[in-house]
Amino acid sequence: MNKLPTLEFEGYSTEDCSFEEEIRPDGYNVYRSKKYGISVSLSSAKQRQQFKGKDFLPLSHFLPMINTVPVESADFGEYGDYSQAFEPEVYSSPLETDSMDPFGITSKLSPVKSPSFQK
Amino acid sequence: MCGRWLERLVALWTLVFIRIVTGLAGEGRSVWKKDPHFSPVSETQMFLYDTFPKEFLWGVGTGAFQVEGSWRKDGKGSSIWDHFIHSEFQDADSTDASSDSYTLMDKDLSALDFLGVTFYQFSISWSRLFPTGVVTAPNAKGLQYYNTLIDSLLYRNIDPVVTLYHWDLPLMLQEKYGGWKNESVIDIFNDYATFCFQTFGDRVKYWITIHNPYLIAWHGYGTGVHAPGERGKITTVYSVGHNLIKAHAKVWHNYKERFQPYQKGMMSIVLGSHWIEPNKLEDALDISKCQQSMERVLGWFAKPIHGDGDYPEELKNELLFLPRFTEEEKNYIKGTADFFAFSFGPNNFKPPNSLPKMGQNLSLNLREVLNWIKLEYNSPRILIAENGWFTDSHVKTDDTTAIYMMKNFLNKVLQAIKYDNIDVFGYTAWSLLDGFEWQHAYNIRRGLFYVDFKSKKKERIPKSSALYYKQIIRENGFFPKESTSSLQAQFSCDFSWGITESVLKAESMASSPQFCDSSLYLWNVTGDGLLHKVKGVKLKTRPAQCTDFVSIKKQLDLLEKMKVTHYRFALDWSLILPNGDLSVVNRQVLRYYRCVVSEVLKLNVQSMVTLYYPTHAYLGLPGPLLQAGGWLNQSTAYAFQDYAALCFRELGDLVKLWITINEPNRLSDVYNKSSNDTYRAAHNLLIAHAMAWRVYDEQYRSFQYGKVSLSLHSDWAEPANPYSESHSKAANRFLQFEIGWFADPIFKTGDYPATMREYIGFKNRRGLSYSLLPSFTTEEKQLVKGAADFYALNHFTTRFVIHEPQNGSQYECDRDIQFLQDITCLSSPSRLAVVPWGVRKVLKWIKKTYGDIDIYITANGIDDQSLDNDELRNYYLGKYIQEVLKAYYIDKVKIKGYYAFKLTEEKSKPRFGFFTSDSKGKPSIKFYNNLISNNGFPADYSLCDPPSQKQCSFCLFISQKKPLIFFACCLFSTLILLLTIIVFHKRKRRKRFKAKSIQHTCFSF
Repeated sequence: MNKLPTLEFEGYSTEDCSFEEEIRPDGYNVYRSKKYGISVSLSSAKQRQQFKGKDFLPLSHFLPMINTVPVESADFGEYGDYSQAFEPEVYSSPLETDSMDPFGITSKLSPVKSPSFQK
Repeated sequence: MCGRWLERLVALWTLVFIRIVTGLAGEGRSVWKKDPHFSPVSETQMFLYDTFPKEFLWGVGTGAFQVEGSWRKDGKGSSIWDHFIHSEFQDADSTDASSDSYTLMDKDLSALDFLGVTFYQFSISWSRLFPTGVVTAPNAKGLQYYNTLIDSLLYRNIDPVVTLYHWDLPLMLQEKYGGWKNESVIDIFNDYATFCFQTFGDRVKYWITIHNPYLIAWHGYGTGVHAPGERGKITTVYSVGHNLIKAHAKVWHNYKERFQPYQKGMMSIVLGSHWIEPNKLEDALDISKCQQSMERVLGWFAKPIHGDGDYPEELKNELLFLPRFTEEEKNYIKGTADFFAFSFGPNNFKPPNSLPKMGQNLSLNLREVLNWIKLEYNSPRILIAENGWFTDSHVKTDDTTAIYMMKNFLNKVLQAIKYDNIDVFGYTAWSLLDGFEWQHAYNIRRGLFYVDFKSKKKERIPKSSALYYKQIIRENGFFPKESTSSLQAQFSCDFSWGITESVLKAESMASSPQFCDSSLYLWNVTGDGLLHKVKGVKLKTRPAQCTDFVSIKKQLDLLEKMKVTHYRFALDWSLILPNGDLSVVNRQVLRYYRCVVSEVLKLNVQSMVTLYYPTHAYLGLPGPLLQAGGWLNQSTAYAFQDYAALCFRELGDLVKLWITINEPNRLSDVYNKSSNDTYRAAHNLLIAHAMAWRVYDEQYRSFQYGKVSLSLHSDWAEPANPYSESHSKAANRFLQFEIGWFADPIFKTGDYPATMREYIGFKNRRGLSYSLLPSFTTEEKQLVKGAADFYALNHFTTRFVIHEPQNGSQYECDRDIQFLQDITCLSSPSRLAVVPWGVRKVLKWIKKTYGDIDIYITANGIDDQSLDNDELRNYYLGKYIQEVLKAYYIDKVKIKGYYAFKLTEEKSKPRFGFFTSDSKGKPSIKFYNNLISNNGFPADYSLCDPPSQKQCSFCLFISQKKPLIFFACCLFSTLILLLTIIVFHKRKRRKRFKAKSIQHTCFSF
């Protein structure tokens, strides 16, 4: 193991910042970088030197927590067409001055939507 | 000395400079400097229910050439338009059709009577009076026509507002002089005007010289869209404009000097314009372009006449060929109008590519143009001399869009009067009759009255817009539909105040695995910071606890802040029974839900549990059931029954309110391949619900004492056009197809609504649809009928419904309905209309249709973009709950509970939540808290002291004085003990004493 990647920030790269979570049998989890094959560690360079060759770097085990960031619901095949990001429609429609309905208040086919069904 | 002189010079120049700058700026541009953070519920922006000023003038208008017809009759000369349509229009014959006002004056007069207007704005056909245009002996028949018209109007108390020139120049003047290009026409026009003042001036108090000179110059001599159809030369356009302004000024001075002193009339010129809004709200450059756009159209004529007598600076700078006014002319033209006559209609928006839009966006905001006029021309008195929109020619009397255009325009005028102090004194709806619409000929219609041009009698048939205008004139404004004033009252003391949440994502594992693991570990023995299992040692693990689920704690925090009495959430069927049958039951998930219920109970919050809550994105069926066809397969209903029974058994001791299925009527959006799919799925959903209800009724009710129902999506429907019978029928049909479809079988007949069956049958017979409603077997009927303990509704908005025949075997098509979005109505970012009275109407309708049953509103709420100031939600809650209260208090609808929608929202979806997706609370929580703690809208005192507190004042006392009571008890018991010891001791002593004395006596013997 030569030089370990550190957090010397030189711009964001997805590859550098992607880690895979792995839950250990003891209930802790480690985060491994696919690019470097090493797990995330909070140890200092000095501490790291002492543990050369071991399975895990010191201070690389974390307690798992329940995810509090809501995960987007998985799309449901053909019914998933409502999943695109919501944008308020208020200012979206331009005035159709050539039409007898310039504000577009009547729309041909608009299904009945329910906020508690459409999500 | 020298210094002072310099000072003066600088001061003078500064003054000059400032004047130039303000002159350039144009006061009107401040109209566009709006506050981008204005409140969506600000009173001055919302639809205004109020009346117009007492003396407000209500009128309607026509142009002679558009309605008179008879263009060659009775000695009338040709006008440039007669010539233009016969040379330019391909099917010139069809343009000979007309509404024939020249011969059918009585019909026009009855139409005016019908509306109840105070004035009629019409124009005199110049060539009908003077066939060549030059004033000589007038054409007697023409003269008689206008005399009779004016007299008949006055007889009916209708003021004539007379336009001298509405675009129909006598053809001779065009041919001889080149029309308005030639200055000599000015004097000829003045002669004609003089004749009119002499002849009609004794009876006419309002004169219009010219109607919309911009369109005459621009389209008559520029684009060639209008007669005389000259194209191309921009210099001609502006010299025509120049002559029109001079002609107007001349006629005004003529009237002012010779006629006004004794005729006492007023005169103006109708100026028309579009309106425009900047692309970017706060962009100064865009705002400048808007200002330029307005100056090029309205400013061109308005600044000379209503301003300083000269063209706008910008126009003069840009167009070097623009004719110049001499100082003398400026003074002559300046102020030649007694009021500002303004036209705002489709002609100024057409064709769109001919407008100086300057890259900005056209707008129909009448209130803002009026503000611009007020600022630019020093708050003039304004007559709206033409306003309205048009309909396509196929629209006959049901001109629904025209109603909403009129509603919008007129309310903007009212707002301008009430909030912006703009002196609008009259309004001309355009127009009285369908007629010739210039470049569109008869392809569009603008009348309040329909005329069938092919018919013989040419009856004037009032359109919906005529009925609407009539109503506004009668009421002199707008009256709210719902007139019951706000109630000060409360709901019943056992009313449940709830909050709704969708499916709770269950944690499939307790989140602290350490507590389930029986091994013992050593940490960091070798200094490696790792855990090492100690072999052979097994510890006792702690039994599972609800605190193991981290997410429940979060739910509790949110609920505590809501201060609700009830919490409505949904279970995840596919998680509990992954196989769809009872072969695998995920106990962990069930335990999670049980924990939610029991933990929530500790907060004194009851749960209302929804068993099945499908959404568009997540159908929520266990995989195997989905593969077997989902709700199209009847076996899904049986699987649901088993699932429901499981939930009743596992949770029923704690849950007293059950919803089997949330919005089964919305699954029509998912099973929409054909109407037969939709109806089949609905049928199975009904059976599934009914079987679940039966299971509860037969097996669990006797000891669990709960109630079971299903939540139906129940929005209200209102006819978009209140004057159209087909719309009223459509609104009723909508309710039957939406609500009755599920509610009739359960709460009423055990079968689908008759209206629905009949309508589908009717469409079948006409070959418009091959839909077939399933029929219930006798057993199914018995099963379904009565299978609910209360009516539960999710209500969000009111839809305005149009009857629109559709073709196709789809559920959406079967009901023949189209929706209309009322732009004058407050609506949310996701376009939900805020119509509070709609909830009262639907509640009354449910009571009327399904009897006096218990009702729960299981979801009601609105999306609001704002995170830190969700005023729209506050407004919505306040207004809707007030209407629910009216339904409860006045209409005696048995409403048992209200559940606000919803607790938390999802990311990048409409913001319906009281909490954001990362659990940040919004201000509306406080608002809802208040409603809950007041139990409605109490007056001064609360009728309903929570009875539990009264009963428990003793418990309260005990709980508060616990230590004291304990101490007192101790003291008391010690005292008793002491006393008994004393008594006991004394008795013993007495006994001993007695014994002694006996001994003594014995001895004494």
